[in-house]
Amino acid sequence: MSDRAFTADRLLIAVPGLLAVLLVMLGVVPLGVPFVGPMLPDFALIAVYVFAVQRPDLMPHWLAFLVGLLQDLLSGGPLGFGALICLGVQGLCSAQRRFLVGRPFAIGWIAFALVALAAGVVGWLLACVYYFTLVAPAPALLQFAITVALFPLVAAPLLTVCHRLAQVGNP
Amino acid sequence: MRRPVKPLASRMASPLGLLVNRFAFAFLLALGLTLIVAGRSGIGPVERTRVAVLDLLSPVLEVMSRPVSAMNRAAAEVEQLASVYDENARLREEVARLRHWQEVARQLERDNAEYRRLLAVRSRSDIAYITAPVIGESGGPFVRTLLLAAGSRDGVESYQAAVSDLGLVGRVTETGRDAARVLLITDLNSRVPVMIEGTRRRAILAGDNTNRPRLEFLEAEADVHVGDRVVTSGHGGILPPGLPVGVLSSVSESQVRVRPFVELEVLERVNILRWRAPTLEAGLDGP
Repeated sequence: MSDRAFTADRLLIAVPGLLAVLLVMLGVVPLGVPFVGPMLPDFALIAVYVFAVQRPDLMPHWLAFLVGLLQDLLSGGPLGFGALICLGVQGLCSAQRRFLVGRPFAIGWIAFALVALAAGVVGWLLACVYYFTLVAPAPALLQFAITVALFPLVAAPLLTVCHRLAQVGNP
Repeated sequence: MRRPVKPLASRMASPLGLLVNRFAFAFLLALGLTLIVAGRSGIGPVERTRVAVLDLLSPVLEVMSRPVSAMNRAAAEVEQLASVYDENARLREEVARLRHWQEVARQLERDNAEYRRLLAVRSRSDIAYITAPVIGESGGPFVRTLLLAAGSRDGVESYQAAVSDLGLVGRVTETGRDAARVLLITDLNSRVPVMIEGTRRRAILAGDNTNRPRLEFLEAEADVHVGDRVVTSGHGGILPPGLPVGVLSSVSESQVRVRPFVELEVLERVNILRWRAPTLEAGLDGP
């Protein structure tokens, strides 16, 4: 391989981080969807989950933390919430990836639903403690449902990217 | 000669690597918790960082929001085309009805001007505004905010009211050079002094992250009904009085909820009011 191709390989490993950042930004663009309020799927959670399971080397702790932090900064929410949740999801999924890699898509979807539920519950508990009040759980449930329902739409292209990245470094 | 990129996982496979990995995780966990505590305490650098990131990324968000708003506009136009006949009939009826109200309004305007002149009342109609496009929403379950592509350079300042043509949207909480954040009236942290129009009963409109904020501190014996209009009271001097907010959507013993006039999830632009409450000195200097 030429040095130029090697540099291209090196650049490709930044793709998961860039995609995650792009998805976080997409998550705050006003889509004007009626009925669900200003609620959008948690794109960052999907990106962190997919890359932590498929390529944990390209979605390390610090990157998951930064993705969550960016989400906090853009959404205007309490700083650290998204960072902690993304970090937790990355830690959990990269540790348990041997149960998820190579499984059918449906298994990955169900596993994501469980992870998203856990993330939603932790986020809601954090919000209750942070605001020192019983925060309405309905918006968190709604976002959980939207995120899980739209998971295939977002995860499928990300999995394709993972597949292409798997060839990086291989002959 | 090919030099394959060695995955980080394999580099971290050694016991030392594993230890470093765990330390990094624990460190980031502690950092996240520290940020939460720092944010709760309202420490200056946290807020400044937030505003700096907002300014930095607002041009990108503005570009990303353009195709979405263009698509939304196109979808709305197609929807309007389908109902153009019914809409035309409805509008004709409304024009006829509004002509009558126009006459009434003209008469009231004349009367009002006469009374104001007689009583030497200071005019409140000097509210200027800045129109700003919406380039972002919070999107999350625990916060309700909007990002605007207008900042201090355009004259936007924190605490100013954000309104649409239908009523109050929220107030500005963060102001960068080119971008600002508006806390919606439905946000958990939003508290707006309001009154029930007609009865002039005062209350606080408190958001709770649902689409129907509730009224707090409303007198127990207040005679209120579903459909009563709620407007800002102007108390506290942050927001001008009389801005339409919404109507009472449910009234029960335990709580009263308000349906905002503005559909907060489909806003493409808002007006920021440049209004300052009259001070005592200004009042004494006045006519």
